Amino acid sequence: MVTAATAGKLTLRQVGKIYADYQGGAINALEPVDLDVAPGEFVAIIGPSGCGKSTLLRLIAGLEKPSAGTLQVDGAPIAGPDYTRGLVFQDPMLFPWKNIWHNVATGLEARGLLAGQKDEVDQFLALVGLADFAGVFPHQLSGGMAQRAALARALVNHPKILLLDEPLGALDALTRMTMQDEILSIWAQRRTTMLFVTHDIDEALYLSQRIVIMSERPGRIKDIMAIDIPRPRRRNAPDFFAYRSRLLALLGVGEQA
Amino acid sequence: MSRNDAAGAAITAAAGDSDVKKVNIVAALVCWLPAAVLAASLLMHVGLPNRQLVATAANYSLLLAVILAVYAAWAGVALLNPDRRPRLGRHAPLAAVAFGLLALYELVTLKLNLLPLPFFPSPVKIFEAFTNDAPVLAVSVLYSLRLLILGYAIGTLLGLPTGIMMGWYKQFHYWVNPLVRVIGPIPATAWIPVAMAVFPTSLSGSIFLIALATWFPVTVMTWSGVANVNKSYFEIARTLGADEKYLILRIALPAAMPMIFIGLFMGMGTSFVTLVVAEMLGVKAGLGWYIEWAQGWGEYYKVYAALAISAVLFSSVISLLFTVRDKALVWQRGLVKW
Repeated sequence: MVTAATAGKLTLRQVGKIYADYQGGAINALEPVDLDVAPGEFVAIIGPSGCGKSTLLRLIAGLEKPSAGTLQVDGAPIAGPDYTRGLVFQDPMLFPWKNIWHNVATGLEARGLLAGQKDEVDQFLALVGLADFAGVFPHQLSGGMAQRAALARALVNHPKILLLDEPLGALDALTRMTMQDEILSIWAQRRTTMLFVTHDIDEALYLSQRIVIMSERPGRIKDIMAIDIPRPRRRNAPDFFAYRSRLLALLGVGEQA
Repeated sequence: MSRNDAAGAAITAAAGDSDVKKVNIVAALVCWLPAAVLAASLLMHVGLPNRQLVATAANYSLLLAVILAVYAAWAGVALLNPDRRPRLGRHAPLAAVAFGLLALYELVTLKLNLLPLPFFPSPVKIFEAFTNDAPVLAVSVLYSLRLLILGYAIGTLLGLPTGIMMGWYKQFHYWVNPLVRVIGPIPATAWIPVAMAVFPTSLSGSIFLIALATWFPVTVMTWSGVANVNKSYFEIARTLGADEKYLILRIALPAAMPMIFIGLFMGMGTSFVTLVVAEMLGVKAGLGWYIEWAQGWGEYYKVYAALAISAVLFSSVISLLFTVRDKALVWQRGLVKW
């Protein structure tokens, strides 16, 4: 079921964030940034640690209020957290007291829709390959399985935008590649707008249509690069090399050879 | 235990055929240990003359005989059915030593009269209290249970919301925290004079005291549990569409459950203390009252009987709480078993 995305347009205008530190001073976490993301687009955000990429994601999620600027989804300002913008952290953060089925069901339960939509939970469990683990508690799952469950939990609300904050950062290389393909197949099916924070250049190249490169202290957008590699992409495709060199140069870690 | 079993299995596997037989014979003998010790103590009990005054020794003989029959039957079943053997095998050494110590105590009291009376009555005399005073003891247990259940339930029902509100609302915490910090640490028993004067009946006064004794630890641990929930759980829940009610009841409360159970256990301990002291000082019924009353008459064998009942009663209540916790916290790994 491939449908063209109609919702999930993201518009950021001069969005900045200044935190107060514990001494009453100010930390400039994010310089005013402009960013437009089209409905159904897959955008990766990449940059060194402390570049404000998580801050940016938390602002879009509505968990933080911007110090300056405006954020809009489909023309409506972001007022706070909302089920239309799903969030997945690096740590799966499954609720340890709920089994996997109830973890995935959380969004529907919180919105009072669970009674009529129990099939949805089963479907999303099946989508991420955890149908046989519905009754299992989170501490019994491996890291990759737990992150799959966290994905299903975010997807059950049919979010317009999925915010992924280094979701595969804690996984081993093989699980990571499998999960990348699963995320791509979910994206292909659902056409959810994806904002994918990572510090892995190859991951960003493999997954995204555009890469936002950020620089640190204070965080700001340094460049935005469109990745025009046809899909399905092959991990060892020669197209990647040119992009990788440009990205490395932008990040200031270009090969010195 | 499983490690021991595994080790045992490894030994069995490594050992030769004759060694296997030897291990099996030792295991079978261990199963018969309690019955053997009981038979010996029954012989001692019937055979040696009494040197202290007891109404009748026949009841105690019957008691020993019944327990002996039970253990002999159990050992017999285990002999025929090897599946039953491990459980009895684990239990048997402890039971044998316990029965042995009981027999030894009877020897130095009833049979040899080495310990001063009335402070160290023989087990035969203590058992007499059970048979002669059974109705009074039964009523005392019921009174104590009523007081404990009412006081503990009220204390928990007040402590849970107080703790949740303190952990959730800053304003509530600001106003209630000083009260908790000043009132809480006072031992509930210190309020007995006030409670007995202010409350219309000694029962309502005692319920208040036990509720107070339970309320404080439940409040503090619930508050601490709710205040320390990982903030990311709330953030995730909010992006999933949770409102404040959901965050409190379906995220904060279950996440704080391990801490809440610590508070429930602490509250249970303090309410046992408060219960017994309140009954000794004010209430005219219950196990605490019975102990006080028996001591007034110098009937220490009754005191010991009431103490034995208290031990069984309080231990059962704690076991019940552990069972509830194991059910409620089945999602946690590495629970401490009772």
